[in-house]
Formats: sequence, C-alpha cells, structure tokens
Amino acid sequence: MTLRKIITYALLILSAVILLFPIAYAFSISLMDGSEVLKGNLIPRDVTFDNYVAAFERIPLLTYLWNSLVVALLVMVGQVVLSSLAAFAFVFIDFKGKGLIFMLFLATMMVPWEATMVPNFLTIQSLGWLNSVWGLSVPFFALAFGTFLLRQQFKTIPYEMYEASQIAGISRFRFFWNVVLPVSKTPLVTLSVYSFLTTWNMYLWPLLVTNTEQARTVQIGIKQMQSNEVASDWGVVMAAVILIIIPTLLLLFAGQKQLQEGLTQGAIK
Amino acid sequence: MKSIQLQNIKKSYDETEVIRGIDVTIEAGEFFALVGPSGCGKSTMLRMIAGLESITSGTLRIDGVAANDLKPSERQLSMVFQNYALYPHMTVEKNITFGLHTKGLTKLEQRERCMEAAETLGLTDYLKRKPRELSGGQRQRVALARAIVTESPICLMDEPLSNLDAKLRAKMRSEIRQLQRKLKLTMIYVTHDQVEAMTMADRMMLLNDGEVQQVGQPLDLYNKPANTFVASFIGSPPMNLTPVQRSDKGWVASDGRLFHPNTLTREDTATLGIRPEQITPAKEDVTFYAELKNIEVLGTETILAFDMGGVEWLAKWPGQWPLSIGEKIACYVDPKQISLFDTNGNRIEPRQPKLFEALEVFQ
Repeated sequence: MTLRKIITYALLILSAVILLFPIAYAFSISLMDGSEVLKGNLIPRDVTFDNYVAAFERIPLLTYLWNSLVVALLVMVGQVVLSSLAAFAFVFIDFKGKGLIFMLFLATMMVPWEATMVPNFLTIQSLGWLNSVWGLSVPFFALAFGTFLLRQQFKTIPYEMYEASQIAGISRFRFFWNVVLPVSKTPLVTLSVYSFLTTWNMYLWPLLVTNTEQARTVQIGIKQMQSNEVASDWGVVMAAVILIIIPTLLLLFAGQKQLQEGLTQGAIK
Repeated sequence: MKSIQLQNIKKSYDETEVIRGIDVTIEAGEFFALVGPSGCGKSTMLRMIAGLESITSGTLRIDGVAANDLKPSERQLSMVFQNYALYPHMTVEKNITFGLHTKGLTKLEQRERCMEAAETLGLTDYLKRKPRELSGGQRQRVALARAIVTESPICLMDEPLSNLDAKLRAKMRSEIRQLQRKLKLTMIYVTHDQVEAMTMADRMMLLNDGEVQQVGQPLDLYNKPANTFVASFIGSPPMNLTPVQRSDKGWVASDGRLFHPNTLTREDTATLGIRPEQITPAKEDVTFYAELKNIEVLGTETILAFDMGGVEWLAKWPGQWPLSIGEKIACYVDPKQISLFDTNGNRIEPRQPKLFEALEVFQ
C-alpha cells in the first residue's frame, strides 16, 4: 500500500517537474541579465527586473495585450452565445432534419481549421476587416465543438422541465435564460475557459490578417521580438512570455474554482 | 370548471398506432383516472390532452371548444410530472411562482398566491430552500403547489406518487383527493397502480395496448369487469380465471370441478372468473374442495393458494387461519358472484334476477 503510494507520488512529482520546468526556467531567465543566460545558469545570481522594463520598451506590449484580451473575450462571448443557442435548438426544438444537421455540425469538426483559412481570409478581406478585432474574432464564433459539448449537457436536463415551462406559458428564451443556462454553469465555464485560452494562444490567423502594430496580438509580438533581434535577448523574450502567461493562469485559477464547485455540487446531490 | 371531450382520438408514430381511437367525456370537476399497464398509452393520452404530443386524428374539446391546435399554455391546465420537473437551481418560492408573470400578475400578487398555495400544502417553512434540500414528499408538494398556484381549472397528473414510499403514498393519495375537491379541479390522473385509481377516482378508464377496455366508476370495473383483461388487472390479488366447458350439469373445469354460474349463454367454452374474496369457507353448501399449495397469513386476512384446472387460484379469507400446506379445504362461492367470459374474453351478462323469477313462475 505505502510502496504503491511512494511510486505514485514519485511519478507525479517527476511529471510535475517535467511539465513545470520550461515555465520555471523561463521565469528564472526573465530575471537574469544577458551574460548569465549565456552561461546557462538555471537560477539567477543577481535578480534583476530590467528585462521586464525592456520588454515594455521594445515592443508595444500593452497594446498587444489589450488586443489579445479584446479578441479573446469577444471570441469567448461569441462562442458561448452561439454554441448555447445552437445546442438549445438541437435539444429542445423539434425541426425537420435535426439529426442530419447535427451530423453536418459534427462533420465540420473533422475539417482542420487551416483548410478553411484561405476562403476565410478572402471573406475577411472583402469585408474590410483586416487589421480589426472583428477580422480576428468573428470567424471563430461558430464552434461545432462548443455546440456538441453544450448539447450533451443540455440533454441531461430532464425534458419534463421544458414541458412544464411550456404548460406554464414560459417563452423558450426565458426557459433558456432562466433555467437552461443556470443549471449548465459548469460546462459553460469550461467552454469559456477553453475559448479564451485557444484564442489567446492563436498565432497563425492573427499573423495573416494583421500587419500593423495597432492590431497585432501578443503571440505575434513575441515572435516579432524574437526575430527582430539579430541575437535574441532571451531575458527580454522570457520576461514578455511570463507577462503573457499571467492572464491565462489567472483565468485558469478562477475557472478551476468554479469548475470544482460545479462538479462537487453535482456529485453531492 | 371545465370538461374535456375526446372524440375518436388516435395517435401513431410512423406506422405503429399507439392509441386506437378513444371516445370519452371527462365531466367538469371530476376526478378521472387513466389506468393501465406500462406501455398501454396512458401517458401518451395525457400528453395529448396537455398539448405536449400532437394528435394524429380525432378531436379534443376543452369545454366544448376544439383544442387540437392550442398551445399547452392556452389549454387552461396545469400538470404534475412523475419526476416533478422542479427547477433545481431555484428556491421553492421561485419554483412555485416561475411562470406566473405570463398570467399578468404583479410581483405582489405572485407572492400572495405563492403563500396561499404554500399554506395549503404546508410548505411555508421551506420557501427559501432549494429542491435538493427537500425530501421526496416535500418535493412532491412543491410540484403540487406549482400546479395549483396557476389556478387552472384542469389538472393533469402523470404518476405523481410513484417515487414515494408506500406510507407517504397513502397519505398523499387522500391529500390530492381533498385538494381536488376543495379547488373543484377537473383532474386527469394517470397511474399504473389500480389501488390509486380505485381509491381516488370518481370514474376511471382502463387502457390496454392503446384501446379502451372499460370506462366507469371504480366499483363497476371491479364488480362487472367488461373482459378478462379488466378482471385480471383490477383487484389485488386479481380475479381468478380458468377455462371451463359446458356440460349437462353446469360448467366444468379441466380437472372436473363443477360450477353453476347464474348466466345464460349459447357458448360451449368460456372463461370462469371468481374474485379471491368471494371464495369463502364452506358452511353447508360446498362448491369445491381444494388442496392448499401455499398459505400467507397477513393478520387481517389469509391468502390461500390452490390449483384449479392447471391454473393457480387464490382465495382471500378474512381473519387468521391456522392451516397447513397440503390440507384439504372446503370452499363455497355464491353462484351470483361467478363471472363468465366468452371465448373473446368479453363478459357474459348474468341473467336478470327478475326475469329468472318470472320464468320460474311460468314453469
């Protein structure tokens, strides 16, 4: 029994170290000056925050962060709103060809997003949305995965609840808003976190549709920082990386608490 | 108070017909029970009345007005579901009042009505609780409160007591019945439990396989079952049935036992039915002797099992009988209480006593 525990914990610690090492090392590099980085030190001898100052000076990091935040929030809201409405229709509204349409929905999950990039680019271009938050966010609003996830959740809601509301004369939207959404908090938070993080980490699409400093997002900023310098100043790059991770970590912690609450609520009932 | 009329109502899913033409009028203020084994279409029937299921053909009239195409909310009815369908994230109060805004009530009026309903059902102390903090019986009450708070003249219930334990069920039975009388509701109550139907209903309808077997007052169904299905469904334990052949002396079961039912018919074979409680210990006349296969002493009554022409029959004797398995008992059955069913299983009406006497006078 104890041997088993020891092995389990040893494995857990090992994987935690492997997983956390890059982040920890990045953090430690961000606190070193250039010469120390080149020496290959793991832990900085003299802790300095110069890299952080430099990161803000060298690229418009604040603008990038703001852009990323706006785009990620827009996509998050857009995906949650559209996915939940679509999922509601798939679960609670009867219409012809429901099964077929849902199959088509799922089928789009099999198409890699990169394959649709060119037509999407042309659409965005003709709409004049290059270099705008709309061009960065709107193409991601429709999410088959989100619809699928929420549909599965909504299906667990007893159908009688919907029928009871129909008999009481409650409108569909009110039922959706006052019953379906509140009882589906957990998957909604999951979906929100997922949307935010994916959008925040998006690289290829912003690279395509933005070419001004005003419109770029952080991930492009990092790449720019890394390649602009002949010899990359890793200390500064890592400082920027750490800054970029912070919002995602915050979101993860905030969301995790919500998730746990949701999960235990379901379990104890 | 509203009446409900079903005129040749049918329902089919694709090719399969699940309701095969139902004609019945449910009077205003009546407690009407829909009974049948599971899968007989009774819930479908109720859902069609509620408007949750479309009607394939036939006409549904609520107070004389055709209601086939009305939305559920336009049918002036409330419904209690088997699983209560409470909103888990809302307090009891919110559960009761949710939807009242559609009736154009102000917040204050909603509160008043909620308090009234809560008082009727003894829920006033639980208004701030969530459904998961309530016991099964309390949840049931919330579901009832939600139905009566709308003050709809018609109330539909779909097996509302099936999730409760036996003791609570008996209590809620009488509570629901009293509530229905007090509020003068037209109640349609679906159940698979014939005891519920017998004890609560003014009239009941027994469905099997989408077809009406019999409609009438509970005691009519009990005393004069229209066919063998009704006979075997109503009553606990159900009516004893055994096939019999006509002979010169009367009707003979396959093991040679003889019966003299008070019935005239031209049939040569029939099914004979006797309720367990109508088989009594013989005092003078003996209808038949039976060898006991099993005995259950229940305190107020004793259930005796024995073989009758290859079929197990049960007799219910009042009191506690110290009998043992294998013992021979003498039983008596009043000929007037023997039912006879023809080969299609339909009841053969017994001879009218008056006519019988008149005939004797002529002879």
